[in-house]
Amino acid sequence: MTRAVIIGGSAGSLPVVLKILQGLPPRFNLPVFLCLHRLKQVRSGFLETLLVRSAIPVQEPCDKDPIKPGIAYLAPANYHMYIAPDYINLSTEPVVNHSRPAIDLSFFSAAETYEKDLVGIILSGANKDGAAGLKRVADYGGITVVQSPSESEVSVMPESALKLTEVNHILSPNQIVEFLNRLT
Amino acid sequence: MQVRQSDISTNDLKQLARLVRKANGPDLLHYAPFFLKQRIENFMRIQNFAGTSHLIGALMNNQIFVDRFIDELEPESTEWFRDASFWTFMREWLPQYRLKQANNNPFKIWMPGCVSGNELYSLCILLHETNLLANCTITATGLSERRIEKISRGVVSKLAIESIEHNYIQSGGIRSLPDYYDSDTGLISSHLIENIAFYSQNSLLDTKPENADMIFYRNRLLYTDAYLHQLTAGIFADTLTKGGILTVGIKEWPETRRNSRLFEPINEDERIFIKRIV
Repeated sequence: MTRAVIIGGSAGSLPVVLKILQGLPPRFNLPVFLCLHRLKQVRSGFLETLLVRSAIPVQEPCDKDPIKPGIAYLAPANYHMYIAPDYINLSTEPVVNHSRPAIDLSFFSAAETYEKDLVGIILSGANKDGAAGLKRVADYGGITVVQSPSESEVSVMPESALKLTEVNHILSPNQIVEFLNRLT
Repeated sequence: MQVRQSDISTNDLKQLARLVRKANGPDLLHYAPFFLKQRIENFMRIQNFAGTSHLIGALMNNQIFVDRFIDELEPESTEWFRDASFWTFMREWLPQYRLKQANNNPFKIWMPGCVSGNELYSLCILLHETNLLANCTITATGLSERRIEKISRGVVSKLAIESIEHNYIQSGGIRSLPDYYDSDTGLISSHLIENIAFYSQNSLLDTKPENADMIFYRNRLLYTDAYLHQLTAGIFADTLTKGGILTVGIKEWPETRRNSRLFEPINEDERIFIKRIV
């Protein structure tokens, strides 16, 4: 049984993330972790953009904030976001894959925490961050989803993920929304 | 299901924690677990260790290697003037706070948990540009003797160099960086740090100043658990003078909760707190 969803994206992923958050049922009862590459100097604005459209509450967590179902947690700018069993753990360690937050680190920790009960989704993006993370989700028996490269604004990230992992689903943005709606 | 061989089990962590404690190192059992695993995996990659048993074997009865291992576990801050709005606020607020203090005693600042010097150098530049540095006594402490020695020489970490110029300007810097940093030598100007007392310490309880006016501990609580947070907050409250100031990272809370028993916010967004009068 799926207990959490984690989504990684970079260039070109914002419209898809907005579509996903808008398309979730209001009573969606899983935590959703959003690890999206963003400008490190800009602390506000991004969260507000998501909040306007999202069907579920979106939070930018503080370190050690508890994880609750039905909330989307957006990795804060310039922090890595680890997913522990009950709480979020942030970090200012050096960049990984030129990124902080690094999608790989969030996915590694979420995979270890939720094992087979995790859905990992990689969206549009311009580098390979997230590919190793999605593989870790698959290694633990979780469900892996990649945005169809042909429907991605920038296909490097989905293609990198597909090179490393035989994923369960390659889906368009609309199909990702439908898939998530079937989870709960 | 195929799980990576390098994954570190809870038992491995306990064994590593025992080894480090035996060598007078920090208590790893109270470190944030995913961060700790990530750092250990990094260390094993650098050392070409295939698995944790190899690492544990190498650490046994080898104090020098344990010290290197502890060094690697300490996460570097990678930027000068991280969080520009924190520094712009400080630039305005700190001189006013200082003026309100009804004495002309040296302003005592403690910066524990120094790893790379980036936060310390940023603070020294701000104090210099607000004409406060000359009347400050600063104590900088950290777990790693090697790192503290490097910081005391003014070595600027390579990871920070990329961000220095941009962050300095964003933080409201009023001079130009070559006034402070020599890119040829990779050193910060010695006048900024010449009066700082540097100490390595095994825990926060060693070598701490008495009656500090301000403690800088930004983005260090991220790496430890609630138990150590409580302990740390207590030590800071004991160390600060009446009306003393604590700053932590903008995504941290003293004591791991929003309503601290010991500190009340002066600027909650920037996580600047004053010691509560109890």
